[in-house]
Amino acid sequence: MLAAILLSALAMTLIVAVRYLLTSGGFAFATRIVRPSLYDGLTPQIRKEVYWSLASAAIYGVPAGVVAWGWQELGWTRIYTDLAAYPLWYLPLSLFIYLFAHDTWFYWTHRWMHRPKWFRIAHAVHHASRPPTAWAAMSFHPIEALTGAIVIPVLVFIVPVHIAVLGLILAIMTLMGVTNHMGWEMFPRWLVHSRVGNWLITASHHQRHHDEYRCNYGLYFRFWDRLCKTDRGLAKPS
Amino acid sequence: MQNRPRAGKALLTCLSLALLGAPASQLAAQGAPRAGGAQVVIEVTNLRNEDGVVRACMTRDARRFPRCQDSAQGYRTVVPAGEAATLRFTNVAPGTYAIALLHDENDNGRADRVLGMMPREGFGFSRDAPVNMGPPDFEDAAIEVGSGDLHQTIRMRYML
Repeated sequence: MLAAILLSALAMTLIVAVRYLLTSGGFAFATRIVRPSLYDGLTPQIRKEVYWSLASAAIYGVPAGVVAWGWQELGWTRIYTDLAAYPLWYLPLSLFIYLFAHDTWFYWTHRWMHRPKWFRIAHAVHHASRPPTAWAAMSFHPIEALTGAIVIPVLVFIVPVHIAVLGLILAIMTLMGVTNHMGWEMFPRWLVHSRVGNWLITASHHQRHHDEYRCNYGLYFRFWDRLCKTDRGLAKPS
Repeated sequence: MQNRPRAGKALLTCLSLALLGAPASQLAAQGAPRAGGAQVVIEVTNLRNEDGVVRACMTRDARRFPRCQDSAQGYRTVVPAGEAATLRFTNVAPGTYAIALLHDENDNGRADRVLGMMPREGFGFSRDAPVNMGPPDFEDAAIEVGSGDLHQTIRMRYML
């Protein structure tokens, strides 16, 4: 049994690592085409970003692997596979609940990690990327990585979610983690500068967090930033 | 699926419910019972439409579950979905079996999947064994067939 748990944790770590290398590599490649000199001179920094990201892959992979094992072997979690188990309208609702819960957790732990003591211990690694690149998506100190790694593995015990929606949540998490750091806005102006865009976080918003530190703490939505008056709007387009 | 390194299964990639190919001949549904063998009757519920066929297989060989491929110790049948409310295996030798059903809506002989992972066609197993990261283990779906007739109700489930 222990061997099976270890194997699951190892497999999940590899999946997370490969997922990181493919998505960050893909958007780094896209950056080279769209903004050819954006990462010039950043090679030593990128090397560190990849190093910390791969370390984080293990921290993300272990809890996910243990939960995946428990789901398969012991029936843990409230992940469901039968589409008819809940009404169809619950699919988009569960997506929103997961994103909002993750966003809330992220906002408050992120603000906590900007307190001077904890910034030095846990969050300085992430802000050492100046400016961040597509490779910085998982460039976290292990303490910060741990705060991020437990969110989904805990939520699946509390909030029912269809396996396909869970896959979508993980895809959104991965995509936004990479693109919010890559240094250019890929979403169209009509979306970013719109009433909907006023509540969504994309690269333009998160870039400003990395420029100015003490604002724009959110993950997916600007709800908490706006409520707590920490939203300073978008960075100037690069 | 041989040896099933249980935890190494990537997300749902092992959902190989393919129940490939073989014709219905091995034991035709509705066959007259003969002396010595039991009859296993399966009530199939929750079929979502009458498209294609229902492929059913039943095996004693844990390594060949749920596909029952090349199984000398198994029975299989293929029935049009519109007529699949009741399936029968007749003249079944006593033993421990597990049953797998696939609602092969496009009748292409395999469980079609999205991105090679998540089945888009319905499935069902004896004892209503759950599907999580992959198909259930043989033990979770195992039923005992003795000399008497056996009834099982299997609910079809659709992930997408």
